[in-house]
Amino acid sequence: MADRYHLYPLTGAGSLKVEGLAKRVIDDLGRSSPAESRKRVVETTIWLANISITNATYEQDDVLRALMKRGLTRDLIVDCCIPDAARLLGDGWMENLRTFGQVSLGTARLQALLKALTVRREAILSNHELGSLLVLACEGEDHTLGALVFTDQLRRRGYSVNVLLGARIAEIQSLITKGDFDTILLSSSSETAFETVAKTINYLRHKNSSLPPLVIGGGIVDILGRKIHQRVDVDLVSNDLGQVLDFISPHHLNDNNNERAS
Amino acid sequence: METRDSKFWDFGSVPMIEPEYLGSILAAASDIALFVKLNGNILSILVNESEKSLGNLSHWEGRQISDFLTRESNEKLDVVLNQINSGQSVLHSVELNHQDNALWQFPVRYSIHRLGAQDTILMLGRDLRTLAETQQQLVQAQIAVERGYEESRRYDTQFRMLMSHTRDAIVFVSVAEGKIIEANAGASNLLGLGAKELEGTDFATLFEGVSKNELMTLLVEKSELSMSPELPTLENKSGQTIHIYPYAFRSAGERLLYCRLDVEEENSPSQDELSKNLLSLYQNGPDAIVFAQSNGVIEAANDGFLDLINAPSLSKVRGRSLANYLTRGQIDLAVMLDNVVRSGQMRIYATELQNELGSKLGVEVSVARLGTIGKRLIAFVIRDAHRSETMRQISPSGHVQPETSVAELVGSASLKEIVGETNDMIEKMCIETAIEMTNNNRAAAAEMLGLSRQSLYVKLRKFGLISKEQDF
Repeated sequence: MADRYHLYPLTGAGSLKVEGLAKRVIDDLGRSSPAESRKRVVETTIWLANISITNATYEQDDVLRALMKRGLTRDLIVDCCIPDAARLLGDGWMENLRTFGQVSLGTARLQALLKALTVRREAILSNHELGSLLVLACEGEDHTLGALVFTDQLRRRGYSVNVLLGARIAEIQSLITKGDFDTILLSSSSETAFETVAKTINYLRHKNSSLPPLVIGGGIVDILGRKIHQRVDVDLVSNDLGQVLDFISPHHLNDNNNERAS
Repeated sequence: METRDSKFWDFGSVPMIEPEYLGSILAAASDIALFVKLNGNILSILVNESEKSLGNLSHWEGRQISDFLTRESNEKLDVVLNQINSGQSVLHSVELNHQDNALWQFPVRYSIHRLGAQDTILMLGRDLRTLAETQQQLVQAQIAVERGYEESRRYDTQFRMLMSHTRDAIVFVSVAEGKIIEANAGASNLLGLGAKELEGTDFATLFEGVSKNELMTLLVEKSELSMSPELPTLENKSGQTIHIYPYAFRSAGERLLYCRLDVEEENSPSQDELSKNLLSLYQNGPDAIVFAQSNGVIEAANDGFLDLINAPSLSKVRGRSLANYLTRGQIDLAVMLDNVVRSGQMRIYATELQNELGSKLGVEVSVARLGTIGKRLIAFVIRDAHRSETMRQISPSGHVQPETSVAELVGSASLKEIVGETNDMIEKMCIETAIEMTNNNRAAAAEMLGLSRQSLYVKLRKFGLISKEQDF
C-alpha cells in the first residue's frame, strides 16, 4: 500500500516550494531540534501533500496508520505536517502544477486527517482552565484548516475553545450574549472573506457595549498587515502563535482589563 | 500532430479562416476567450453563447485584466506574461480566479497562446464554476461535520466531567469482546489499574476464577433482571469482594454493559449475609414476629406468631388486622401504633393475645417502625409474658428474692397504712401511664385499666390529674 502512495513524488528542483517548507520547519521546530526529526517532518509533509491528491483508492484509515508509522508525534503532525502540506498544495496551484480540483480534494482530505487526529483530544476538566475562547470563521470563509489547527493548539494548552465555522452574525451575537468568552479570535484568509469579517466586527461593536478582546489571524494578515487596524477596531492582528498566546494569557488579559477600568 | 502519415497541422494544411468566422469559432471552442496585450490590456472578449450565466462582460474591453482577477491570480498571470515576454512558450494550462465585484468570483482554466509576432496573447478559457460549486458544497459539508463534532464535544466534556467526579466506580464493557472500553477514576482505584491501562483489558481477568464467557453471560443475564436482588459478586486480585451492578444497552449497534462496581466493606457482614441471618432469626427464633402495614394489617408473620394464636398457616392471617388477635383489639393496636409513630419504637407493652377460639395469653410486645416514608412498615416482636415473668422472678440460683424496698418499708408504718399508700401510688401511676399511652384518650385508658369511664374520672379527680370542674 505504501508503494501506491509513492507514485507521485514531489521531487525536482523548483517543482514545489520545498525549500520554503524546510525553512518553515526549521523556524517552527527550532534550530536546536535534531536534524533527523526536521528531515522527517519535511518528508512527511511532502508525503502527505502527495497522498492527499492521489487518484488511486484513498482509504483514510490506511493513510492514518501509515502516517503514524512515520515516527512523528501526533502534535507535530497536526502543528507542522498538515498545515504545511496544505500550503504545498496551494503553492502547487500558484505554480500551475496542481489544479483547482486537486487542491480542493487534497485540502478536504487533510482536514479529515486533522479531525481524526484531534477529535479524541480529551477536554481538560480542571477548574483552573486558562480561559474560554471563541474561534470564528465567518460565513463565506472557505479556508478553515488553519482555524481548526489553531483551535487544537489552544485546547492542548488548556483553553476551553468554542469553534464556529461558517458563522452567521446572528449566531455570533447569540453566542456572545450566552457565553463568557475571554477573547474572540477571527480567522480570515482573503480580502473577499475579510469583507464579511469587517461587517461582523462592526456589527458586534455597535450592538455590544463591551466586548472581549478581538484578535484577527489567518491569510489576511499577510495580505493587509497593519492596514487591518484601519479597517476594523480589533485588539490584535497576528499570525504568530506565540504572540497570540501571550496576548490571551490570563495575566495579560487581567492587565488589560485593569488598564481599561482605570 | 499526425494523421494518415501526413502533417495535418503543417503550415498550409489548414485552410485560412475568414476573420468574420474566427470569432464565433473561438467563442464556441472555449467558454471565454480573451485577446490581451502583453501589458495586460484587454483588447477583446468573446463569451460562448451557451455560457449566458457569465453575463455581459463587454465592459472588460479596454480595461486591464488585473482589474478582474483576484490578488493571487494576478501574481500567476504576471509570471506567465513575463515568460512570454522573454520568448518562452506556455505549455501548461493556467487556472485564474476572476472577480467582477467584491463577492463574486469564478475560476477559469486558460490555455495561453502568443499570436505571431504581435505583443498580443489569446487566452482560451474553460469555465470551472461547476467545479467551484462542488468545492463549495464540500466546504459546506465540512462545516456541517465540524459543527456536529463541536456539539458532540460538548456532550463528551459533560460525560467526562460526570465520569471523573462521580463517587461511583464505573466501567463500560463490550459484550462481544469482554473488554473494558472506558473506565473512570473510581473504577481505577477499585481495580488497582490506571484508567488508561484498564481500557482494552479483558474484564474477566480482573477477577479470580471466572472466564470471559462466564462473566459476560452472567452480567448480561443479570442486567436483564433489573430487579434481581442477587447481583454478581466477584473477588478481585487483591481479595476484595466486588459487587457488579450491570446494565446492558446498545451504542452504534454494539452491545455494551454499563457496570457500577461496589466493594464490600471488610470486617462487616455483607448486606446479603445480614439478610440471611435476619431471615434465619425470623424463621427459627423463639419470639413471634409480625410485619404489618402502618394501619396494622399483617403482611408477614413467622411460625412463632402462628403458634401463639394457633393459626394453621400464614395465609389465614395475612391481610387481617393485628387487632383481631389482641384482647383489647383496636385500642391496643392504636396505642402501639401511636407510640411507634411518635417515637420510632415501643418497648415491652403488656397485653393479651387471643386466638380464634377465644383463648387468651398474656404477652409483651416490642414494636419498631421500619421502611421509608413512602412504604412504612411496622415490626412487632411478641413474647409469651408468662415465660418472661417466670424468668424475671427466678434468680440465677433459682430462689425468689425479696425486694429491698419492701424490706425497708416494713416497720416504718403499720401494714394497713403501707398497703393503703402503696395502692394509691400504684393506682395513680397506672392511670397516668394509661392516659399517656392512649394519648389522653380517656375512653381507651378506662378500657385498658378495666374501669368504667365514670370510675376513671373519679380516680383522676382523686389524684388531682384533672380539676374538679372538668367533666366528661
